[in-house]
Amino acid sequence: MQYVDHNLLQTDFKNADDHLFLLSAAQRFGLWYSRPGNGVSHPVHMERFGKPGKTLVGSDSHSCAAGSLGMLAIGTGGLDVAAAIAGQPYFVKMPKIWGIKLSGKLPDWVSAKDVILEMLRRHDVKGGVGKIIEYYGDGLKQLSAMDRHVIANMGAELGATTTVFPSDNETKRFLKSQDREEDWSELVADENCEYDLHEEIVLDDLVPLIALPTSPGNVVPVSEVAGKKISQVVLGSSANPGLRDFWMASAIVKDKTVHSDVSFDVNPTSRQIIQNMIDNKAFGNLIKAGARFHQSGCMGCIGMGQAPASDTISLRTMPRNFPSRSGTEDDQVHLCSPETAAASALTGKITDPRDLEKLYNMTYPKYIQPEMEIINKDMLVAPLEDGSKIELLKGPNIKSLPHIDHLQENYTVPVLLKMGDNVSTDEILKAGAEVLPFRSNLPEISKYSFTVIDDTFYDRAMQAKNEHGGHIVVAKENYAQGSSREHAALAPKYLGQVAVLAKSYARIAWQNLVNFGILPLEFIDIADYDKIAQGDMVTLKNLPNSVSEKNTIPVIIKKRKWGSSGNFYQA
Amino acid sequence: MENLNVTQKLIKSHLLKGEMIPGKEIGIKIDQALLQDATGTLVQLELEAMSLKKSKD
Repeated sequence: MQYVDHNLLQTDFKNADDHLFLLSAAQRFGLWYSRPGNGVSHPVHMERFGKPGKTLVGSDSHSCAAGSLGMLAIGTGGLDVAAAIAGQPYFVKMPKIWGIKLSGKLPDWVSAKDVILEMLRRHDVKGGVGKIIEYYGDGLKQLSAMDRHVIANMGAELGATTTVFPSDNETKRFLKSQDREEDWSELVADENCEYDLHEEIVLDDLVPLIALPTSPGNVVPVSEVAGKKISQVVLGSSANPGLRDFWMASAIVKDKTVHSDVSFDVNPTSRQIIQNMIDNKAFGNLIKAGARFHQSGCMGCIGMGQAPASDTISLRTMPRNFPSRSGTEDDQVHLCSPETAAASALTGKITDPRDLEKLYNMTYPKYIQPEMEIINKDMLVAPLEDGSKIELLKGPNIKSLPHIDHLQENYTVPVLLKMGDNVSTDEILKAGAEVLPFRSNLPEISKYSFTVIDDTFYDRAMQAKNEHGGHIVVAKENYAQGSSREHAALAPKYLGQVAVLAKSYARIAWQNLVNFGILPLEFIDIADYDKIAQGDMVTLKNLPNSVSEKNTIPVIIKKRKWGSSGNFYQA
Repeated sequence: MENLNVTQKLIKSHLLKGEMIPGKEIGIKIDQALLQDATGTLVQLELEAMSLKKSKD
């Protein structure tokens, strides 16, 4: 299924050309096509195609959201997805399975987003690396399939391979509401089954939580930061996509007007959800309260519009707040539940939604799931029986893949950048309305490599490529966490990147680096990180042989001022 | 391993290569693929480069 949800703003021909290209390619290769504006891939997939017991790979890191329906759904690099489309198996290191028992019942004003923020509070952005998270226990009964989507979606932020929920009566109820009851089958854990790792969350103990800038793992109780002035609230994205989430916000702001300092932006996640929001009055109540509606899609979540004002706080129900992702430099994006977002929109300050009881004499609105939703399949274009004659429509901004050179025997290249922990793909190659239109034009997009960290990078990389035949970069733990974009490997490769030297890698990033011929080297002795500096020259020898024989790869460092060396090996 | 959790059931029913031992490589059959436009243009160009005739169901 090919969705169009990211590059929706058409400020010139580029994104519109991409849409036509993708339609032609979907028809050529026999895929479904979800038209621009139909909605965010993950909730639309869940509504129309997700099926318990099935497997999925997706070229989007939040593909794991489909785990909400009892699927094994893994976000990965595009080349792995292309191979799967061609019928190849998907290869992955068998992860550890982490059983999370949910017990008890969520208090009023606390919802699914607070459950996943609690996981991030406990385990930060690399706590899930090498693991599949499986939720079980009595607490599940209270969580609808879309609530589970919220939790499964942001399993990506924990670095987990994926998240899995059982397929039970709630799953059945959801599929029935989508007129797809026949697609339901039960999939539950056997009694006395085992998990590699164990943990419990007592839902009764949870409070409203919020992730502070600039990491989804930077989580504190809302009450700790309450009172700070805000300039924006954004509802939407695949992290809080459900009808319930929009209805909840609408019920909180109903018959009131949001604070005059606040831009209240709403991105309904699909056209179907818009129709249902009109039906259950959420749409009208949000409009009346001052909401600025945007078309269905990722929009502000990937910096495609709705950038916040300088030096101000933006509260979002989205999954990520990496530096500059919103489109504003030095942004202060906070991540929270729809309840916290709506409460704060009213007061103009970060507000614990539980305080609405005192402030507005409000009782917690109780959402009742409709038995049957209004269904909209009109914007889904079915694959053709035979698309072999369809020509690929390539506008002038769509460039075929360039040839990638083989690994050479030896390199002596400079260290162009030395970075810290948890460098995100947004820092390696940012998203946003300026850069995203170049996703099908590698020579152009490569100019934005690492600009968030160092805006001289492109010029220095081109110089290093001409003078030395390439460069390397150095990082600490969890390099290239975040999105699955292959461009975070392909663009540096295009600029001559030979290797990354890091303490550890995010799962998808490691695969993407390998797929496009950048060596993801790991320190043998992590203390050697301190011995290498930006500007050093490093020599790598006998590479193709050492890689194929899985040998240690010595990295010989020549300091600009003094000599030193260390041994590092390939992951 | 008679009593399986949900993840193990999903993997076991799709396992083509390897064993379900943490850290060991496994190959699994994939039923569905999801592409979005920001990464999808590259995937479609990769399918073109692979000269794919038609997606496998």
